[in-house]
Amino acid sequence: MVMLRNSPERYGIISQTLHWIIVVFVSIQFVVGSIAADLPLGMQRLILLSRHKSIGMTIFILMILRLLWRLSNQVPLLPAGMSSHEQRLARLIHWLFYILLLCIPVAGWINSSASNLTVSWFGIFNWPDLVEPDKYIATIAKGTHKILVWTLLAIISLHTMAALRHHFILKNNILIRMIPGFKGKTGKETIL
Amino acid sequence: MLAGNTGAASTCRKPVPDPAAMVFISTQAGAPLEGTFHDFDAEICFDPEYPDTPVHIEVRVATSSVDTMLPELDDALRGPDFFDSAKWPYATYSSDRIQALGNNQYLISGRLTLRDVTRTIEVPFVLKPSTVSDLSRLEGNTTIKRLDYDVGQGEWHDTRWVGNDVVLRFSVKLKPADNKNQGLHNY
Repeated sequence: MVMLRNSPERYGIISQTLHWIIVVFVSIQFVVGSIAADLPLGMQRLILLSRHKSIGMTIFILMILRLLWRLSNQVPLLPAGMSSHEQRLARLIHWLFYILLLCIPVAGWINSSASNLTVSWFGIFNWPDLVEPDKYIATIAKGTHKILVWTLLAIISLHTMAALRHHFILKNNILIRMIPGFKGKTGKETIL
Repeated sequence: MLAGNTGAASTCRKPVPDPAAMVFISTQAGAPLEGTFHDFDAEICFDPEYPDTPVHIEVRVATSSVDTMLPELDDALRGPDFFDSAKWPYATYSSDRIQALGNNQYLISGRLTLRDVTRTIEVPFVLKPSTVSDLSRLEGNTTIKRLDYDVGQGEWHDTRWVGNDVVLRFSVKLKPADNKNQGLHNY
């Protein structure tokens, strides 16, 4: 039986799907954005950056849905073995993900608007321009976009290492419960 | 320089310089990309007997004055793949016929030259007569296909990411051309 909503023990299919789709999209974004940043002006850069903007706006929408889902759902409990300090850190990292994954697309969007380039969504519709063209705003937004991306990479590393540590060293279900289909152990290791 | 039917200098008018008056709108990845040509000149000549009836229009645009607010793109547009401003510094338009449609509206038929391609195009425009407080204003727009004029060589020939249609839009105030500024200005 597929569980749509989260339970105290594990994430439901909606949370799991959103998590992994965003993992895939963010990975693509990092690769495409890095390649495009080093290209000279040309058709290749135009195509890559257009895709980058479309996928970035998709992440933005998915993150809004994810935030709404998170706020309207219970969050699975953290393992009993975790100290309150570790639990606070884990929750802080989770919220940082929400903040960064909403702010990074917006910074990119502001950069594009300020650069006089309206953002299209896969050529299907155009997003409104957030600001009037302005070189100074474009420079600030671009710099912010990059700094936030590096911050995101740092917390992705922390989050991934923590998940692997819980799985392989502490041997609890914290990784498994985000993977669709896998049941793992249930209940026993959580604070109820 | 101008066609012989322009008559006395007093019957011609010129645009008040305005860097935002000559606009083009292209598309990149499906989204509009707006730019301007800062440097252009024009001469609109009127029938001496009916001073509100335009009989001839000449326009000249310095293609190197293109401004999309993206310096890197502007450089590319001035380059050989697009306008090739070094080889063809000006885009020109010269009317062959101006048809009055009534209600200040006109349809002009003339030759547009971009790079080394000349094509006849029709452009509708409105000429609002001058009032006590304001100069007359000429405005209108038309859509051309950039590839008709070889604008977009090599990889830029593809129209999927950079659209073929380009909207040209103009809105200029006209002032009388005195003896000193007859003809078209050289940049």
